[in-house]
Amino acid sequence: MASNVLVIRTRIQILTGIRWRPTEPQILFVLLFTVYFVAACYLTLVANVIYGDAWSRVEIAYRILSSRDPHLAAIGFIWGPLPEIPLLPLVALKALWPQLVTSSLAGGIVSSLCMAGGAVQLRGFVADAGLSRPFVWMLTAAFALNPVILMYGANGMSEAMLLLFLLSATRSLARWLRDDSLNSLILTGVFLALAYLTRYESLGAAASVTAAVALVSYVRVRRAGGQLWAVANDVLLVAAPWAFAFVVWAAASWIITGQPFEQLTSGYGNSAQVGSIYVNRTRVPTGYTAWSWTLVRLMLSQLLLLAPALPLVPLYKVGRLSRSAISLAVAAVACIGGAVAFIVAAQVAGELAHPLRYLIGVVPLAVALAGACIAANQSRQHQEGRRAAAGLSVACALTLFVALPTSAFAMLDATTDPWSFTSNRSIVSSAPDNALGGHLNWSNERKIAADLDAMHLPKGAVLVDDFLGFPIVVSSGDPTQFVITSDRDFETVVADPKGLGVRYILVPVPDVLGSLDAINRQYPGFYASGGGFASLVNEYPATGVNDTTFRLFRIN
Amino acid sequence: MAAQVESVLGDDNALEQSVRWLRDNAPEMSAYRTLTHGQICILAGFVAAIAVGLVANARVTIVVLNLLVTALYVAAFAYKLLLARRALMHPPLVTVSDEEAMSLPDGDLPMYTVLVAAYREAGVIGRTIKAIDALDYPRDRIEVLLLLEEDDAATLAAAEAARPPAYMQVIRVPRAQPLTKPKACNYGLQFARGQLVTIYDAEDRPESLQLRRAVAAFRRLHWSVACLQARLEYHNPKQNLITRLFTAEYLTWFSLLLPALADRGGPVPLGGTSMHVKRIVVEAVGSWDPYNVTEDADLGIRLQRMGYRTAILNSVTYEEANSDFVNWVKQRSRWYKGYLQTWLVHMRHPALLRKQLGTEAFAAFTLTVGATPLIAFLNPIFWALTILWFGTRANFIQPIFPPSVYYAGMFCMVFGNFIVIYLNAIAIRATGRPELLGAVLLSPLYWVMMSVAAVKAFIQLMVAPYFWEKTTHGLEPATGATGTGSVQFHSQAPEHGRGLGASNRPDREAAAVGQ
Repeated sequence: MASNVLVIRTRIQILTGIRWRPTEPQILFVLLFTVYFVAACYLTLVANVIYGDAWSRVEIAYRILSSRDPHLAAIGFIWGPLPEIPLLPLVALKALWPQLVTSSLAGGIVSSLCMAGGAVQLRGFVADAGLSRPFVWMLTAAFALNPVILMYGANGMSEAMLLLFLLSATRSLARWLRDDSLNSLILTGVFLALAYLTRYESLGAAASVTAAVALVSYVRVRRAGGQLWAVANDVLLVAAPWAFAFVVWAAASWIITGQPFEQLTSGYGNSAQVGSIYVNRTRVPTGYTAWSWTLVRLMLSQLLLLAPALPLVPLYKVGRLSRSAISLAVAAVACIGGAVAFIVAAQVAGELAHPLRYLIGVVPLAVALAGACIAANQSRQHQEGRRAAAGLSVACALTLFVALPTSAFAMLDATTDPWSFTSNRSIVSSAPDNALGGHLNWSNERKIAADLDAMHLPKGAVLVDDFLGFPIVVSSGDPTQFVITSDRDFETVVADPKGLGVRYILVPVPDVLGSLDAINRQYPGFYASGGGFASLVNEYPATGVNDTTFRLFRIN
Repeated sequence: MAAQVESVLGDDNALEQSVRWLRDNAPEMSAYRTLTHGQICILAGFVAAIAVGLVANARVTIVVLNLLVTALYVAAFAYKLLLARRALMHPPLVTVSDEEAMSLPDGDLPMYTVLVAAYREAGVIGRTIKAIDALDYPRDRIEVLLLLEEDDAATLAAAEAARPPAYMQVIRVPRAQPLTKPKACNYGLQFARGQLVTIYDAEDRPESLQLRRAVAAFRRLHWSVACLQARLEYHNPKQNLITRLFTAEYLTWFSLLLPALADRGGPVPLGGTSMHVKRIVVEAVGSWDPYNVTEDADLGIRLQRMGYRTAILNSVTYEEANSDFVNWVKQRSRWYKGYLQTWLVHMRHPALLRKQLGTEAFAAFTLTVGATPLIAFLNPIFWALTILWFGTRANFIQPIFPPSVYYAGMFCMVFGNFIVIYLNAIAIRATGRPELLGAVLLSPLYWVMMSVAAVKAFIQLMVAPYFWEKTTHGLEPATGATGTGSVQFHSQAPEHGRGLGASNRPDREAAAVGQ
C-alpha cells in the first residue's frame, strides 16, 4: 500500500512538474473535493436542484457586497455568520462566472471544501487511534461515499461546515484524552467556538465536551494528587473560546438589532418557523405532535436509516478497550453525539423541525465508534483469537457500508425526508418534465427577475422581503433595484413605500412561510387586494418544488 | 574586608568608556538621542497628515485611523497566540539535567564573572550576597563584582558589614550621568576577567546550578548562540493580587512567548537579569547602552542584528514581584519607556533592520516590543469610546463618530482582554501553576495598571528619557528558601504518552539553602 502511494506521488510530480510530495491526507482532500465539486456542478448546473437554504446564504453574501445598501451587518443575526464568510470572495467573482451566484455554485464550492476537510479529519482520528491502513481507508470511504454526505458536500448547505468543525474537535479531543496534550485541548476549544458560529446546535456538543473534559481532568488530577484548580483551568481552556463566541455574537446582535437572540425572537427565526409549521401544517405534511410516539418513531427510523451500524457496533468488539479506543469513542460521543442529542431533544420537545439532514452527525458517529471497536480488537493482535478479532473487525467495517443504500433510500422517501425528498427524487428521476422539479425549479422567481430587469428600473424601485424573495435578488442582473430586508431603511420603506420611491412590491402567497413575510405582516390582506394602494400587475405561480407563488403589484 | 579595585587604566578612563563608547562609536545604536532628525520629520509629517485629514474629512480620517489601530491590535494578539501555540507544540527551552550540570569537572569550567548592580539596597544587600554565594561553582573560577555607586554610603557600609567572601569584590562606580544600571555594568565589565558574564539584581535568587547549566548549554549549542536567558519567576506570588497577576504575566512571557520568539529566530528582548553572555561577544557589540532604561532588551536586539542568537535556558531565577501599586507603576513605566527607546533606536534604518533580522523577526519586533507600550497607551482611548457609546446611546444623542469606530474600539477591548486571559490560562496550566487562575480571570484589572504605566512612560520619554525609576525592593518579608530546580514544562506528553491517569504535576526538586 505504501508503494502505491509513493507511485501516486511520483506520478503527480511528473505530471505537474512541481516538486511537491503530497501526503495521504492531501491526496484524499483533493480527490474528495473533486468528487463533491463535480457533484455540485451537476446538481446546480445540470439537474437544477438548488437547496433553498444554501442559496439563501449565497444571497446573504451577495447582499453584503452588491445590494442597494452594502454593509457587513447585512450578514444577519438569525443564523450563524461563519458559513457566509467564505462565500464573500466567491460571490465577488460573479462577473467572471455568474453561475456562482445565479445557480448557488459558490455554496457548493464551500461545502465541497468543508466536507472534504471533514473527511480528512475523520481519516485523521481513525488513523490516530492506531488502525491499520486498509481499515483507515475503508472507514474513510464509508463516510465520504455515503449518499447523504455526498449530497450535503455538494449542495452548499451549512451541514458540511458544521461537520468539519465537529470532526476536527473530535480529533483534537481524542488526542487530549489519549496524550494529555495541552495544545489539543486548546484546539478543541477553538473548533467548538467555530462550530457554534456555524450552527447553534453545536451548543450541545460544547456542553457535553466541557462536561467530559471536567470529568476526565478531575479523575487525572485526583490520581496525581494535584490541585483542583487544574481542573478549573482545563475547563476554562476548552470552554472559554465558545463561551466568548457566544457572548460576542449575542452582544453584536443586541447592539445592531436590539435583540441578543434573533434565532429565538426574530420573526423569521426558528421559533417563528416552527410555530408556523405546527400551526398551519399546509406546506409540509408533518402531522407530528411533540412528545408523541409517532414523532419518536420517525426519528428512530431516520437515525437507523442513516446509520444502521450504530446499534450493532458494540457486538463486534472482542478486544480489551485500549486507551486509543476509549479516547476515540468518548470524543466522538461527546462532540458529535452531543450535537445530535441536542437536536433530538429539541425535536421531541417540538421546538425544532425534523428534516433528515439535522441528524447527519450520526453518519460519522457510527464510523468513529466502529473505529474505536476495531482499535480495541487490534489490541488483541498478540493474543489468541487474532483471526477471529480481525474477522470481526472486517465485518464491522463492512457493516458500515450498509448505510450507503439505506441512506439513499432515506433521502428519497417521503416520510423520512419530507423537506427534500422531492428535490432528491428529481435528480434520479428520468422524466425531466415531471412536476417533481428539474428545470422547473425556481423558474418563476427567475422569470420575475428577468421581467424586472427588462423594465430597467431605478435604484430602490422594487420592495421585496428577501426572506422568501432571495432567488429573485440573486437572479437579477441589477440587485440595487431592490429594497430588501437587510437595508437599514427597510422598515421605514415598508411603512411608507410610495413616499420613498418604491414603484413595485413583490409579495409571496401567505402560506406557512409566506405569512412571515414583512409586507404580509405589515399589511394583512395585501396579497389578496393590494392593500388599497397598489394594483396587481402579474401573478407568478410556483412551478418547481421549492418555489413560492409571488404577486407583483404596482403602486398607484 | 572587601578589596577596593584600582583600575589599571585609571578610573576616569574606565568611566568615560562606560558612558561614551557606544554613543561615540556607534551613535546609530545609542539611545542618547531618542529620535533622529529623520524620525522627527516622519513623525511631524504623520501628525500633519492627520491634522489635514481631520480638517478635510474628519469621518473618513477617523475611520482610517481606527482601522489601522484595530489591525495592529489584531495582529499583535494573533501573533502572541501563534507564539503560544508554537511553544506548546515544541517546547523550545534549553534543558540541562542536574546530572549533566554536576558532571562537569571543576577544572573544565571557564572563568565566570557575575555582575551585581545595586543602588540604595542597604536593607537587601546582605541577602543578595547570601543568594549569590549559594551558586554552585568553584570559588577559584568565579568572580562577583558588586557594583555600588560611590555616593551610596549606606549600601557600601551594609555590604562591608555583610562580610562577603573573598571572591566577591565591591567596585565603587564613580558618579556620572546617566545614573543607570547599564552604565554601572559597562564600568564593571572593564574589570571582568571571566569568559562568561551574567548580571543579577539585588533581589535575585538564582537556582544553584544555573551557572553550570549555562556552561553545559553553551558547549552543546552552536557557537552563534552567544546569550542564554534564564527564566525569571517570582518567589512571592501569593502576597497579594498584584503579585499574582505579575507572576502569571511572567509565566506567560518566560515560558511561552519568549522561548517561542527565540525559537523562531525572532528578536529576543532580554530580561534584565540572568542573561548569560560570552564576554568577547558582548564587548564586540558595544556592551550595554547606558542611555537605554531597558538595556537588556536593547542588547538582545543588537546581538541578533550582529548575527548572534539567544536561547532560553530552563533554569529559574526567583525575583521579588512588586506588591505595591505605586512601585509597580514606576517599574512598568520604566520598562515601557525602555521598549519605546529600543524600538525607536532600532527602527532608525528599517530596511537594514529587516535585512539583519529577517522579515518575520522584523515584524515580530514591532508587534512585541513596539506594540506593547503603544497598545497599553491606546486602551484608555477605547475605554473612553465605549463609555461614550453607552452614554450617547442612553441619551439618544447622535454619536460623534461613525458606528464602526465604536464597534472597532469595543472589539479591540473585548478581544484583547480575552486573548490576554486565555494566554495566561495556557501559561499557568503549562507550567503547573493553576492556582493562579483566580487572578488570571482578573487580568483586565491588570490592563488598567498597564495603561497607567504607559501614559507615564510616554510622558517621561519626552521629558526625561534616561531617568531610571528605581524600584524599591525588600517589600516582602524575608524567608529562608532559595530557588528550586528547573521546572518540567507540561505541554506535550511524549508520543503514546501518559494517558488518562497520568500525572500533570511538574517535577520540582528542592535545593538546599545556601551556606
